[in-house]
Amino acid sequence: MNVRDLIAKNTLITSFVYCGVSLLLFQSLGYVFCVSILLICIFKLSVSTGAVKKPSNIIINLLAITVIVVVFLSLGFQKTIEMFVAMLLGACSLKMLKVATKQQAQSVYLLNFFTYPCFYLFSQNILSFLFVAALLLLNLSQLFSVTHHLPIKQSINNSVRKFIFSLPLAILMVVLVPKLPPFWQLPNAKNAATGLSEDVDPFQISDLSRSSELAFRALLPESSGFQPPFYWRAIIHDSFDGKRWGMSNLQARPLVKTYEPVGSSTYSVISNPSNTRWLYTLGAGLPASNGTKVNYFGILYQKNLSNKPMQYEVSPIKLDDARASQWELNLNTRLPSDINPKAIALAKQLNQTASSTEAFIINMKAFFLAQSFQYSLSPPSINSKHAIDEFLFETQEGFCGHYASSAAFLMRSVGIPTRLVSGYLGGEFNDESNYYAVYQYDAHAWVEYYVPQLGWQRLDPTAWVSPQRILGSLSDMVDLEQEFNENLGFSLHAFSDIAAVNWLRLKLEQIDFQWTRWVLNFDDKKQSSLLEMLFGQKNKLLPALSVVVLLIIVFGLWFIYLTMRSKFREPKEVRIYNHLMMLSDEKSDKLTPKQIFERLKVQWPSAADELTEFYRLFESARYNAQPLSSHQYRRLSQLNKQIIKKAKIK
Amino acid sequence: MSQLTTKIIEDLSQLILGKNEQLKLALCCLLSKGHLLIEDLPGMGKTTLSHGLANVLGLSYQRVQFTSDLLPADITGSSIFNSQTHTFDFHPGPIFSQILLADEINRASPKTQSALLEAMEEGQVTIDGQTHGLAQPFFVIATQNPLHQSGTHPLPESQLDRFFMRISLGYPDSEVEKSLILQGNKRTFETRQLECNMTDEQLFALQDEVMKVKLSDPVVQYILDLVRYTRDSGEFSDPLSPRASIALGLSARAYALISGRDYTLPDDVQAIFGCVAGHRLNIPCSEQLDVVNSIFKQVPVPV
Repeated sequence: MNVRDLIAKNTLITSFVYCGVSLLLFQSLGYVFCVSILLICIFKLSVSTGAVKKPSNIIINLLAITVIVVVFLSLGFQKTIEMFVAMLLGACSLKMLKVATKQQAQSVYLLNFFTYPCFYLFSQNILSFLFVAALLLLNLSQLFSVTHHLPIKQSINNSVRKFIFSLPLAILMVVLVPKLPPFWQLPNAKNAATGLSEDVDPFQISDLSRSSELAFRALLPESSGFQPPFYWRAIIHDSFDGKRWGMSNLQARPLVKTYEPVGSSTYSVISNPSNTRWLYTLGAGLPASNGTKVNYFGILYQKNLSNKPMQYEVSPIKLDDARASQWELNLNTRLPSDINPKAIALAKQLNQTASSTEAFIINMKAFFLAQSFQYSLSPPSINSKHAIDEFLFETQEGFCGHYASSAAFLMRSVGIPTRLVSGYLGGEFNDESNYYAVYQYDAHAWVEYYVPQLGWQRLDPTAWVSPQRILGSLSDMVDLEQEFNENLGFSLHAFSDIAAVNWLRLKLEQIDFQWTRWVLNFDDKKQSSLLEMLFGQKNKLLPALSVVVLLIIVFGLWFIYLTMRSKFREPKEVRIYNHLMMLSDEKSDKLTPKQIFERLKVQWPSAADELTEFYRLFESARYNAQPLSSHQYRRLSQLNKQIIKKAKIK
Repeated sequence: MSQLTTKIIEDLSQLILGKNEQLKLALCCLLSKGHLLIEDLPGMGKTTLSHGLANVLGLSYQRVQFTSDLLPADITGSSIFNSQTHTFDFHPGPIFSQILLADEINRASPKTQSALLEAMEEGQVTIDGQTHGLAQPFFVIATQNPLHQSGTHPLPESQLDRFFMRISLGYPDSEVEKSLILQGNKRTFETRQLECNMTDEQLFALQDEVMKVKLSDPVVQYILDLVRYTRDSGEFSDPLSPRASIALGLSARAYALISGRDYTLPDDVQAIFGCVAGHRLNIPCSEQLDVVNSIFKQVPVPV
């Protein structure tokens, strides 16, 4: 196959790859852009089948302008990362229409080593890793194929072999070479649209569209003593403005009192990137690893938002909050005036027969059970000022946010300090790896109320209406299955009923868990602890440095071995000849030695005799199969030196 | 032995002035036991060269002028009824000589051409069921007019491959041409005067000597690289065959021998590459030099 056909074939494949990558990223890049990439790909296909003739530069430039306009219109200037990736993909796709020479193809394939990993900006799980790895391998083969004029199949073979050969070295480098912090960072590309929000206004939401994306995973050792239901606290909403439940500044206030952990065991959580910096804590806890802080409520948080999954350790504590400050109690009973009159009336009525907070709660529970309240993921939205009134007495249909916010309102209106908590409830247990997977659809809201001398107590009003919600993950609820699946859209979760699909999903989950835990989270801290474990030294820099030095020495020796090996294979006269050639200006390897020496004689007339003698010796050794005697060899080296000397003088 | 080859070249160069390189190549072809194709316009000295070669090497010589009505039997010979003995007697044609000059081979019909080329390949002819061996040594020197001339049947690629080398004498220098003008028709006269200074045995010995010339690894590698280039670069529709590779090695050896060496150099390969590969790659004579030089510029010379 000649070079032109090979390049045409390779670029066609690459066009399809760009098209596939764009389609996979269509949620981020927008479908208009994806369609334009698809059209370019189809154009390329028809050019390579000969249906359309090769486009001129003008047409390609026009297409480029069109793509730029499409990118600006569909993505806007706000999404820098998406725009950048879209531009890159667009430019590469258009270049594929134009590539004709080996050099052009090589430069595109080199650029692809940057283009393909851009996929990681959007997803980092094991499947995307495998996908990008496959693309890079393909790219390597194509580079190989274009450079060495090999059929693609053969070059795939070659590059897979090289890849496997270099894999152990790469792993060693990742594990041992010290990790430097990045010089610059991209703004967070994966700002999760899902997750918890810092302000809760459940009545505005008519359709709680929840995703099956993973929120976090937790490793809960049995010794930690936690029993289901697991209420993962993340945000405390203690200020209510009549519409929204927002956070007070307590949420970001660090915990000042010192606490001793309850029990000796800790649990760890690996959280996916989210749009808030509040982490998930069972009850209250203290950070047992670096990188996290703990706030006033005993909830862990990160200092900065990160776009990578992060792992943190928590040691549980018992908050000593029996004596809350008057200021805090005031904050938690504050209600705006003249809203929800009916609800306030109801609360007063329920409170008449109640002697204590507990009694009030029992009355409230009785009220909820007596009415025909329904748990629903798609309740009607309520826009009235008296939203809670409307919910309690008219629609009576809602999800956790509705129940929690109504109960908190009722309790506050009779003076019980109450706050709303949002976080996650439940989790799916993976038997094999012993972790709990918590998904975005497990997000939950409940309330905490204050009892003097006892402190803050948890209360989940949703449980009265829908007890199953508390027992397991939302996905386990039979009643809501239909509704739940409709809200999920298409994913493996929707087919959890089929045993095989569920098994496959759990397996994938488990692999992804191990991947996140061991690979993505392998940061400088883990590395240094690993190094510490391996070398048992407090000075962590030393072993790391020694590893680097060792690697350099090993590489150096290997390199020397490689060059020496080929040198030892070369006959002596060739070695000296090559040495002479390196110093001469005659760099051309397209001339025969005889021609080169004729030219050198013209260049260095003073060394003509030496050159003649050198060539005579070289010719008889190299072409007349008469190996150099040691005397001749010495003479040859001597001549070499003399020639170089004379050439330098000139 | 090198004295012998030098003498041959000297003798021939008196006959054909200023064309030493072509003479060396022609001799190189015959020493490699190959058939020679000379492509030139009329009047360039093709016939003189072949006649001269026959004389110098001391070989019997026959010349056939190829025309469009020439029949195969006109070359191979035929059986004719003898009325006295009442038998068919075989009358050998001009092919039964040691050097056959097939003048203007592309004027003959393809049928006649292929009859000749078959004989070249087999070293024998079969007439009326009887096989007759050809003389040893047996060379065909064919001359060919450039193909654009009217009334020519170009040789097919497969038959071009049977010719070991294609050379072209080309126009002489003006200096040489001046002496030609002054000498008049003296050259043909001298052809007859050349001594028949070689025996068949000497020729066989020379041919054996060719095989003893050393072909070192870098030279073989250079031949391989050149052949590979014609196959991989995509520039040629008919890349070189293994037969061509063998021919390159053989003629490089013969060229080295003629140059007075018993080992080959990459320079020998460069010297013979054009005329061994040119006709096999379908390069017209006029472009051969440029194409060959561009190949040399692409393929590194291994050391």
